[in-house]
Amino acid sequence: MLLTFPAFLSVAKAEHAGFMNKVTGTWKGRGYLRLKAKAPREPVSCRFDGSLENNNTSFKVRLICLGIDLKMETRGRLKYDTGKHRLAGRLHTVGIGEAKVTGHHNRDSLILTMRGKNPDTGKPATTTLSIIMSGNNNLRSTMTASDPVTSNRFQAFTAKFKR
Amino acid sequence: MAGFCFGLEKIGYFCLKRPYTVLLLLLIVSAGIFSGMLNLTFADDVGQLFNNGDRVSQATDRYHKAFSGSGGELVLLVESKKPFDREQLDSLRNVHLDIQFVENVIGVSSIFSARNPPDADGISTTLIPAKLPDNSKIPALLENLYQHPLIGNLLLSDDFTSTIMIISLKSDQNATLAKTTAMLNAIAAITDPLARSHGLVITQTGEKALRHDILVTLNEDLHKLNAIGAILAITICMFFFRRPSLVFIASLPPVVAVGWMLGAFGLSGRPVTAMNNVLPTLILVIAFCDSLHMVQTIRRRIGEANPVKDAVAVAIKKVGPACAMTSLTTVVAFLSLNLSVSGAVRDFGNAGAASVFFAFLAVITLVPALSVVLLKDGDNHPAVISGRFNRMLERLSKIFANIAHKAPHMVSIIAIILFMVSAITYFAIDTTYDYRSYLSVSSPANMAIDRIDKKFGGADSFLVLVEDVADKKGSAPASLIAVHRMLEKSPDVRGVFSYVTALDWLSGTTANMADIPAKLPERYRRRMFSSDGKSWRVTAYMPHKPAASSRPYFDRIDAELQKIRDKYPKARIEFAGIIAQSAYSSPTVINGLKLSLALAVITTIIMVGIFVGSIRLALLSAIPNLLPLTLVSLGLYMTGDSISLTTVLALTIAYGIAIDNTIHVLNRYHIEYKAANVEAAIIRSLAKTGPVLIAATILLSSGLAVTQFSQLPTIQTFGLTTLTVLIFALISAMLVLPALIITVVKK
Repeated sequence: MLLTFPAFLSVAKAEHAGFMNKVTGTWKGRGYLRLKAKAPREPVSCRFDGSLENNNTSFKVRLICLGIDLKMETRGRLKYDTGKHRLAGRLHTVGIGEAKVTGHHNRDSLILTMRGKNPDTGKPATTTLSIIMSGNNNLRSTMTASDPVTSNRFQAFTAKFKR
Repeated sequence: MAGFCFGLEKIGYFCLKRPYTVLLLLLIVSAGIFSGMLNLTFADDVGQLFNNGDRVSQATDRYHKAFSGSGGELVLLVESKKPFDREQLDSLRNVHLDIQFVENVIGVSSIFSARNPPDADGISTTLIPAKLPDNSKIPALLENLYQHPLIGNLLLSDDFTSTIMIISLKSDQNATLAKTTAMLNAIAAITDPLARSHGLVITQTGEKALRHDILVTLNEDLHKLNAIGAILAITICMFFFRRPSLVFIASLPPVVAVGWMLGAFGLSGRPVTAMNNVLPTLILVIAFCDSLHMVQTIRRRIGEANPVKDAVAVAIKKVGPACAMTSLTTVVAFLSLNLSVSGAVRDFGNAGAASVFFAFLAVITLVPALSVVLLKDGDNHPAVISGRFNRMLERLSKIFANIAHKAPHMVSIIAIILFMVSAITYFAIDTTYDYRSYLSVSSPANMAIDRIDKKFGGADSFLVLVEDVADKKGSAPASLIAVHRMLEKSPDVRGVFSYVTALDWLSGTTANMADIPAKLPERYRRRMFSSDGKSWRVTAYMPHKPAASSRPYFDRIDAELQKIRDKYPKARIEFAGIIAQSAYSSPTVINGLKLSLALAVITTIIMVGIFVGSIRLALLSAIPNLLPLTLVSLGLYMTGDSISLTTVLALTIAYGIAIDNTIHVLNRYHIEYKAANVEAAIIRSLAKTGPVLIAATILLSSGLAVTQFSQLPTIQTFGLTTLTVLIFALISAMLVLPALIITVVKK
């Protein structure tokens, strides 16, 4: 089972401040979700909300994707290191549990690593989420996860967002 | 007359002596009562009408307790002129996904929900793939969907041009009309662009949309009918009186009476319903009639050079008791509804009785007080009713008197025969109930029901509640399986849905039965069994039918259910829900109301006897009083119609108003007879009371005609039936009663 975490890091330095402002707010999008490596991908409709808090030192996120009798919801608050452009904390995914999150970003992209446990097997599982912005109004997100049986990586989630 | 009405009209004398005090007091009290209107609510549950405590009603109550938490369903009917193509399906899927984000939506079921049973890896794929095939392969895909056991013809029509989406909603006890409207608008904002761009028609219907429509229509009716009624009343007043002061004095009491009634509703938490929504119009009309009588008397007396206070005192003395009597008989008619087995009907009766009392109180307090304050001695008021109109009324009264005088035996015999024939129909006529008569005729949600009936499993569904426990986790009780299989084979049923449907779908797969409930989406679980696993719901789809027509279907199915009950004595198996409830309860409730009307008639005939001091006259008045009711019944019978709940309620209330005609004629006859023979007394009685009775009937009928502007058939029926009874009652009081008196009473 995949662990899914959306995370949007803002660029800390002045030249990257625009990135953080770009990702805050409400986004709507469509994409596909694959629950297992062997499962076919299924269309989903997604919403996420991101907001900076505590003088830009934390970022609150909520992502929800709804498919046909399918739901993925992740939320939480991540600490943001403005100097090092790093993100850390814990996020909770409904039905799966909490995972430890670390990541970093640059001017227009973010890479996030989530470490938790596979709810079916109980074994450690790692998921990687990447988010790329183009322009002010386009966001693309993909996530890769590991198949708990074969350990092969597969694309678990992909979506495009607009405000 | 005064003593019989408990001297209620004497309240007017106090108001005459202390007009400013009374007006101030009324202002303060009214302000308090009117504030209740801010809390006025509207109720959309027509199911309560037929909750009479019988086995189906009890099962329905248990069902609601076991399956609480559901906020009902909204149905989207999607229609295309030709079978759905790739682009339409793709967009419809997006609609399915996006609607799930609307507040209070728990989930959506549609053709896109169809899945294959889980494979060896536990993966259950959707029948409609993520990437839709090209248009040449879509028909095969749709055919595949149609064959799916959970979809079948419940969600997709056999010509593939229509589909249904079922939107499950959260239960929200604090849902206001505004919130529900906002939710429906949010869903329309998603569906409307798709419909426009892809040539589709998407209609919101189903329980939530229909109940929303009822609320909107009730709200609109309340404002529209009262506004039209008030404007009509004021216009008639202006025609009659032509003086602003008199118009104001005559118009204010009815408006205040309605305000008190609605304020009391709000303060007591009683909602406006599809049944009691007719009360404001009725109260407006009754109060207006009484008010007009009193002001007319006051104006005439002032015109004859009497001081204002004397004029008011005479009005209180001569018209007050008649107003009290009018109110009393109407109150008795409303209170007779307390004999009904339906709580909703009893509630209507009590609300109506209280409202009529408010109407009387408003007239007997405000007219005297306002008259003393606003009118001056020596005011020259022109003729209230134009000479031509008054002469017309007098001529009409003379015509009635002449016929009764010249052919009393023929009129009496015709009346008696007519009564006997029509009385048989009153007791023989069938009852009918159709929940759609409580729905707005122009509502798209209502009109969609017929299309769903035609293209799908059936617009109506009834429930069977099975209360039993399964042997193993994840399995279904044997009693549930038996009920499901029986209904599947029933020719009266077009489709069945229960937990057995899910088990059938998974039969032959490797799915672990114990895991099945957990794997079902929550909203499917909620529709299939209760959280404690002791109550199971079976939904059976059938074509829409009025209650009377569906009763034989239910009886046939009940006979089969009885066999299952005998086989599984520990299980409790019963119909539940509004469709079954109305099929079983409506005849009981409606026939019970017919009996309570009969009791009201007997009571008021006794009252008449005491009032005029003559048992013979009271008994003679029985046929003229009953004839209007039985004639309406005859009319329905001859046109092949049945008697509905609304009709019998209208007959009851109309009777309470109409009996005043015979009371006025008998009262005047009683006075005139002392100085003349029977025929002369009758002629004089009709000459003096006839014009007033005719004018009053015209006024009442005009007010009731306002109900024809309602969008609800039940309100229209109520108004039309009451109006018809009033007209028949006028003819009966002015023709049949005099003829019977002349025929029977010896000089």
